[in-house]
Amino acid sequence: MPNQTKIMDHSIRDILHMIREKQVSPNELLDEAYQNIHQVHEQLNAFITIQEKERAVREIQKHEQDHAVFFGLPYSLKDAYCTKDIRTTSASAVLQDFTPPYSATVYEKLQHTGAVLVGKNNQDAWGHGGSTENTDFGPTKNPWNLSCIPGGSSGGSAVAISTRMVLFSIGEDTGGSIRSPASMCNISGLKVTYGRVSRYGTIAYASSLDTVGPMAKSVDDLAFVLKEIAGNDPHDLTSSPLPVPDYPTLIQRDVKKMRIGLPKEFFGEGLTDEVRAVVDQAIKAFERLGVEFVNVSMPYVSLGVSIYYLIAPSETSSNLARYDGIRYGQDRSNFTEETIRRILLGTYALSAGYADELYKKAQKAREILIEEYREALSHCDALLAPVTPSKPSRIGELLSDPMRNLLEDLYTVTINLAGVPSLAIPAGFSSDKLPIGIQLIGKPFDELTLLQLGNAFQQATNWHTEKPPLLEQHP
Amino acid sequence: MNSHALDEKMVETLGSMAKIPLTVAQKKRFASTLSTIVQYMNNLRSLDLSSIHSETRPTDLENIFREDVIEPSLSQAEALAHAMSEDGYILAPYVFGGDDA
Amino acid sequence: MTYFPIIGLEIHVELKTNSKMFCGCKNDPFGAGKPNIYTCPVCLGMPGALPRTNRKAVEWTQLLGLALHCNLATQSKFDRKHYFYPDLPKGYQISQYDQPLCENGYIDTSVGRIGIRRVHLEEDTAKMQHILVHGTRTSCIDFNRSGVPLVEIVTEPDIRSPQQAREYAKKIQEIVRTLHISDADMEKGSMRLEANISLSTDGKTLPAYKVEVKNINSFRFLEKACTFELERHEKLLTQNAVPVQETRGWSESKNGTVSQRSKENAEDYRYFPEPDLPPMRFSDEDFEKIRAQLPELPEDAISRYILAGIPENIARTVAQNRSFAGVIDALLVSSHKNMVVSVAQAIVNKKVLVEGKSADVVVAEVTAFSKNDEISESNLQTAVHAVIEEQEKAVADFRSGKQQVLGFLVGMVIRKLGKKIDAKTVAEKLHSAIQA
Repeated sequence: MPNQTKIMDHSIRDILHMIREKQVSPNELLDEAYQNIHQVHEQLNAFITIQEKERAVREIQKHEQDHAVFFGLPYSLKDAYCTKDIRTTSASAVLQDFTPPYSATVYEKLQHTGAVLVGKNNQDAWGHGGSTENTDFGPTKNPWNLSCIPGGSSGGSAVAISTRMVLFSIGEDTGGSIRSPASMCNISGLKVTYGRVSRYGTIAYASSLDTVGPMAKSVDDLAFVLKEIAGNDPHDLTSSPLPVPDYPTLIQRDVKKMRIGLPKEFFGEGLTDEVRAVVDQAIKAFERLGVEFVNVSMPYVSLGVSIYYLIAPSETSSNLARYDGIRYGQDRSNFTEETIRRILLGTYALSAGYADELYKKAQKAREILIEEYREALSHCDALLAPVTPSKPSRIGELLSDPMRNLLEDLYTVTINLAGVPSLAIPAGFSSDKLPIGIQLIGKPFDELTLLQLGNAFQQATNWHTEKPPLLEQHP
Repeated sequence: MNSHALDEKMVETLGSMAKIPLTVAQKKRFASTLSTIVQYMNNLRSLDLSSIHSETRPTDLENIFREDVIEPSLSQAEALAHAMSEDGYILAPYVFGGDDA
Repeated sequence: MTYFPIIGLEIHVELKTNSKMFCGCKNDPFGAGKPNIYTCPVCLGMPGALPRTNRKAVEWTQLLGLALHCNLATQSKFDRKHYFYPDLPKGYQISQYDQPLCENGYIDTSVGRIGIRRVHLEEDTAKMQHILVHGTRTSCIDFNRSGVPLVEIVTEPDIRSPQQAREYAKKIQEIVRTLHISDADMEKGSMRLEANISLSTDGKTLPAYKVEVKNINSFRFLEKACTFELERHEKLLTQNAVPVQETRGWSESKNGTVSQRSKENAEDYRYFPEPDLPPMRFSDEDFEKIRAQLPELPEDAISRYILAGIPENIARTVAQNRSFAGVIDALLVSSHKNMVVSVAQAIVNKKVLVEGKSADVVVAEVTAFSKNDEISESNLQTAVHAVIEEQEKAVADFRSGKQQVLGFLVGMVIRKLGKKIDAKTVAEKLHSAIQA
C-alpha cells in the first residue's frame, strides 16, 4: 500500500477536481514532481533532457487564465517526439545535438491542454529494444530493483510515472514498447489501434507498426490523456478519421457478462510459472466481477516473431536512411550494435533476390494474423494474455543474447502486426517483488472496451497503487 | 530463400548497401548473429501463402490527399541550423560518380 | 553490316503545381532567388516528418496519361526507392514501382509510332553543385527543389533515329505545355531528357547492352548526342567490341559524350510500398472527370485545320500559337468561315497582326488587305493568256503530265500582275485556259 499519499499519487480525475476547487495549485504539483525528480532521477536515469523548473513554471503562468483542460499537470514525452526548440535525440548519439524546428502533433495537442512538459525520457534508441539498454545515454534502471531492466523501449516514461516524477507520459509502441515497460514498472500503458493517434513528429521506427500511446498510473488516467491526443491529423495520412469517444465519461461500466478470450498459444511453453501465476490470479479477479472466459486458438501467432523481425527491421533500415549527417545530426558510424544489426537484417530482407522470400512473404503472412485476431475477437469482447514470458530480467542479460532478446517480444508483436489495441496493466509481483503485468487486447478502434475492463479490474484490485520501495527512502 | 547462411562477405555487402562502416570483428559478430536469426525464420519459409495475393496495408484508408495549397516553410536559418553551410547552401563532402542535374 | 538504332527516351517533367509533391512548400525552385527558403521537415527529410500527397499532381499526371493515349491504372500506389546521395534527403525517393498511374500509351511521329511504356509520378531531388570551398571540392545543396512533383515518361525502345528522338521530345514538350501542367523549360530544368541508346543488327532483337546518356539540356544536344553515340557504337561493333554498359553525359565542350559511371551492377533500390501513404483507387467516374479537363491536343487541332482547307505547315503554326488559334477557331464557327484559309495565311505570314484584336477585327483587316489586291477578271485573263503564250515549254510539260509545273506558271502570272492575288484562283484560271 502507498506509504504516504501525496498529490502525485492521486488520479488525474481527482487532481483536476482539486485544482478546480483550489484545494491544490498547479505550482504545488510541479514542486512535488521536481522534488521526486531531484531525489531519484540520477539513480534511475529516466530522463535525457529535463526542463528547467523556471521554464515549467512559466508554462503554468501562460495558461493561468484560460481554463485549459489539463492545466498544470506535469508530464513527459519519450524522446522520440519532436519538441520545437527542445533537444530531441531518440536516445541516439546521431541526434545528440538535434533541436527540431517543429513539433510533433501529440506535443502540440498536449501544449494546448495546458499540461506542463517536464522532460524527455530515455528509451532504446530508435525504439530498437525492450529493455532501455540500447541507449547512448546510459541504461535506465527499474525502480523496483536497480539491477533490473525497466522494460522498453519506453522505459524512461514508465519509470518516471512509477516514481511520481510525472503524472503521465507519451510512449511509443511498435512491438510492445509501451506494454513491456508498463508491465515491468507496475504502471498502465495503452498501445492504441494503428492510426488512432497521429504519428506526425514521431521519430519513426517501423512506419506500418508505430503507435503513439499514453502511459500513466491507472487506466482512468489513460482515458483522460487518450481523449486529448487521439484523432485525425491532416499531417498524417494514415491517421484515422473516426471520431474520438469521450473516454473519461464512458469508462465506468459494469463488466458482468462480458467475455474475455484466452488464446491458448500464449500460455504454452516459454511462459514462466511466475507470470502464469499472476495471470491466473487476474483471471480469477475478473471472474469475481462476472466476466466470462472462453478459450480461443490462434495457431499462427507462433510466427509472430519471424514476421515482425522481417518487417520492422526492413522498415527501420529505410527510416534510418535519412541519417547521413549532412542536414543535421552525426554520421552513420554513430549507430549502436543493436541498431546496426536491425539495419543489416532489414537491408537483407529487402534486397533483390531475397525480398520475395523475406519481406514480401512476411507482409503476406501478416494478413493471416489480422484474420486470426479478427476471428478470435469475434467470439469475445477482448483477449487476455501475458505481456512478457518472464519477470524483468537483469540489466545486461537480454543484450548479450540476441535470440532471447527477440523471443521476449513473443506476446506483444502480433498485436502490432494486426494493428489492434492492447492495454497493459499491473497484475501482481514475482516472489522478489518485481512487477508483472497482463494485457487486454481489443478490436480495432475499441479502446473504450479495454479501458472499461481495465478500470473495473483496478477498482477491484490494488496492484496499480503500489509504489516502488525506492520512494520510501525519500519521504 | 537460400539456405546459405549470412556469411561475412554478405555482411560486408549489406554494410556497404546500408552505408554503415563495419570493422572486421563486427562483420564476424553480425554474420554469426544474423545467421542464427535468419535460420529461426525458417518457420515462416515453410508456409504456403499462395492463396494470399496482396500485401497488407496497415489501414483500410484509400485516396487520402492534400489540396494544392501553399503552406509556410521553415526560414532559411531554421533549415540550415544543424548543417554546415555557406551562402545559404548546405555543404556535403564531394561524392564522385553521381548525376549532376 | 547495317545497324539499326534502338533508342528509348526517359523524360522528366516538373509539374507546376502551387505546392510540392508531398508537402505544402512553395513549388518554385527556379524563381526562388535564394537557396533553401522553400523547405520544411518533410522535404528536408527531418526526423518524424510524414509525406502528404498533392492531389493536383496526381490528377495532372493522369491528364498527361490520357493525352498520351495511356491506360489509367484503377489501382496505384507510391513506393520507396532507396539509394544514398546527398541530394536525396530521406535516403529514399518516393516514386512508383509496379503500379504506375498510367501505362501503355503511344505518340505518333512523322516517321512512326512510339510506344509509351509508363507515365509515373515521383518527387524531385535537391539541386546539387560542386564548388571549391577553401580549396576542397565540396558539394553545395539547395533543397528548394527537393520534393517538387516530377512526372517520368518512359518510352519503349521504339525510336529509330536521332531526328525522331528530337521530334518525339518536342511533341512531349508541346503536349505538356498545352495541358498547362508544366513550363517544360529545359534551360530552367523543368524538363530533362535521358536517352538509352544501342545498336541492333537486325532491328528486331534488343541488343545485350545499352548506354544511358544524361545531361542533355536541349533538343539540339539530344540529336547530337544520339548521333555521336550511334557512331561510337558502330565503330566499336565493327571492331567486334561491345560498347560498355554505362552512363555517359553529354559534354558541350567536348562535343560528344563522356563516361560517367559504370552500370555493370544495377543498383538495388530495395523497393517496397510506401507505408506512410494509403494506396489510390480510381473509378470510371474519376477518369471521366479527368477526361473532361483534357483540352484539344496540338495534333487534333492541326487535323481540324487541315480539314478546313488550311495547308499543313500553316495549320501547324496556327496550332502552336494561342492567339492565332483563337482567331481561327472563332472564325470557324462564324459567318466568315469561308475566309479561314486566307486569314490563316495572312496572320501566319504576318501580313496582319493579331495581338489584342478580336476575330472580327482581324477578318476585316485581312479583307481590306486583300481588297487592295483585287484584280479585275479581265486583267487576270489577260495575264493568264500572256503567260501561256510566253512559256511554251512549261505549258507543253504541263500538258504532258508534269503537274508541278503549274506552280511555276502561277508564279509567272502573279509576277506579271505585280499584285497580290490568291494563288489558288490563278491556278484554276491557268488550268482551264490550258485545257481549253
